[in-house]
Amino acid sequence: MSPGIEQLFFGIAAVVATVSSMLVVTRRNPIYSAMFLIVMFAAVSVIFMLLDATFLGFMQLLVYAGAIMVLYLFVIMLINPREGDLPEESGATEKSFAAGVSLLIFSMLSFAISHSNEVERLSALGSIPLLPEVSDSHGTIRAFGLELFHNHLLVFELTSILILVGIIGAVHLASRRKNNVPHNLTNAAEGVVSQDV
Amino acid sequence: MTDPLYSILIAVIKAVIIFAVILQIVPLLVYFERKISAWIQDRIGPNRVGPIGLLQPLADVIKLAFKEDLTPQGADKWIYRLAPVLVYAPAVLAFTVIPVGIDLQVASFDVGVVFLLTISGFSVYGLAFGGWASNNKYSLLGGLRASAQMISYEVAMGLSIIAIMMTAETVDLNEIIRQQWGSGTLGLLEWNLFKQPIAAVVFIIAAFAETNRLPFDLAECEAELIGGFHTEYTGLKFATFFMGEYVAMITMSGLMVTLFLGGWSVPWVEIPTSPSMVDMALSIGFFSVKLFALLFFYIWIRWTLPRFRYDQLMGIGWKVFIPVSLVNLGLTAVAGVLGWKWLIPLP
Repeated sequence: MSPGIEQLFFGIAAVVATVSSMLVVTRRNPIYSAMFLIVMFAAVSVIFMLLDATFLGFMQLLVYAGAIMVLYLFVIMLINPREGDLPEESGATEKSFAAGVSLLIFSMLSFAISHSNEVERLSALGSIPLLPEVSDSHGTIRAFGLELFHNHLLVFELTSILILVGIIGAVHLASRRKNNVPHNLTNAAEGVVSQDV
Repeated sequence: MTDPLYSILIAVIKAVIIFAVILQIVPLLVYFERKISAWIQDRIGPNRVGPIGLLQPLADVIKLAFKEDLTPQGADKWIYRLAPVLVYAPAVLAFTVIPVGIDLQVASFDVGVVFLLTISGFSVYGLAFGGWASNNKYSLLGGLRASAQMISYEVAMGLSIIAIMMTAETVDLNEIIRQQWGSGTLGLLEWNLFKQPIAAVVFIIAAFAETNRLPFDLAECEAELIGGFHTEYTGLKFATFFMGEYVAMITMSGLMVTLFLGGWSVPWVEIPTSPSMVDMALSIGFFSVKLFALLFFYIWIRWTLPRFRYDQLMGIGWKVFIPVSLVNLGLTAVAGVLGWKWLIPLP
């Protein structure tokens, strides 16, 4: 892809990601928040793909936008919030506090980025150079798998243990509730919630 | 040839052709469905409109287009309108990576299978959003069921596809097809259907669940939920849902043909290195024959088997198909590392 088109796509993806993540926070209805979060994930995966990490981009879509957000939606739809049920928006004090914290983080990040060596080196060059050329195998499943299962095997295994702990915890929590609830209620809950999730 | 505008033009032409062809197959498929179901149930089926009822789908489309377009009170208008598109678009988009002829597909990715899995997974949002936005408890239940069912069976389907990717040692769909070619009658045994029978069975059953077809149409389930997520939809919005289901069926059959049935190749015919137009047409013909055979299988199953109960569906999904495909995956991995060709014939 020629650099011009690449920058155009990056611009579109970056704007979409920023705007949709703002909308995630500002929408009152959680379904809309979830929807814009999906759009945001899609935009981020486009950025991954522009960086020649096609497989990683699709994984981002498959795992976050395709699977995890479905579970989010699931919970939101089971609670099924309608206009009247939504809690009141927090007061001016809390809003200004949130704005202050966001502004602080934003200024810290922009300070750090603008003062990094890399940016200084690039601005000394006059213009932002193109991304360095990578080999054709970069970002393919083979390269990705080698990196993950060869160079970062320990981290990978530790992560899987963490996830396993999470699963066992969830199963434990789900099964303990059964003993406290009368039998007929358990069956109902099983039919609607546990079986589904 | 390397001009980017030229390649974009070619891609657009291919996309339009595929889109148009799929759009034409859907009414044909509806007609076949009605005729085959009539045949199975010893009826006549549609025979009033046109010769042997062939124009019936056209009449259906006109009828649907002139229906009043209702939006229920209290529905979330934007999401209500968006939902049918979210079912239809991913199904068409996913078809773009399936090779319909020798090295002929709309979009050629190095991660074709992953793209297809990702995109077809998105249609779950259409069902979930449609069910939620209708402001109807039956729709909501249908949407919830659909999303739970689809993410559950996506796992089993993904695991069976990974097994194929491991035997083929590639994710390039054309390469997977080439590896399934063998000369002579016994070349048929090179098909992944025979090399990876467990994955094939898991895949086809998961495909039924993914496309919400009987015996797994728990999301619609007229007897319990009226019509599930599309209860409130009328006119062309309903038609879009309906078409989405059929296109998803075509896409899944196309993927099945590619992964397990040798795609556009046939065992007796050598794959030409530089295909002529005739070779291309023949390969598209072979692909279509296999595709329609599978679509017939889909319809046949629908009108033969009764519907599963919801807990049975979830039970077999999580307790049978996922463990079975995991064991299959483990066996494939062990056979691959130790080079046990007698267990799983590796390339």
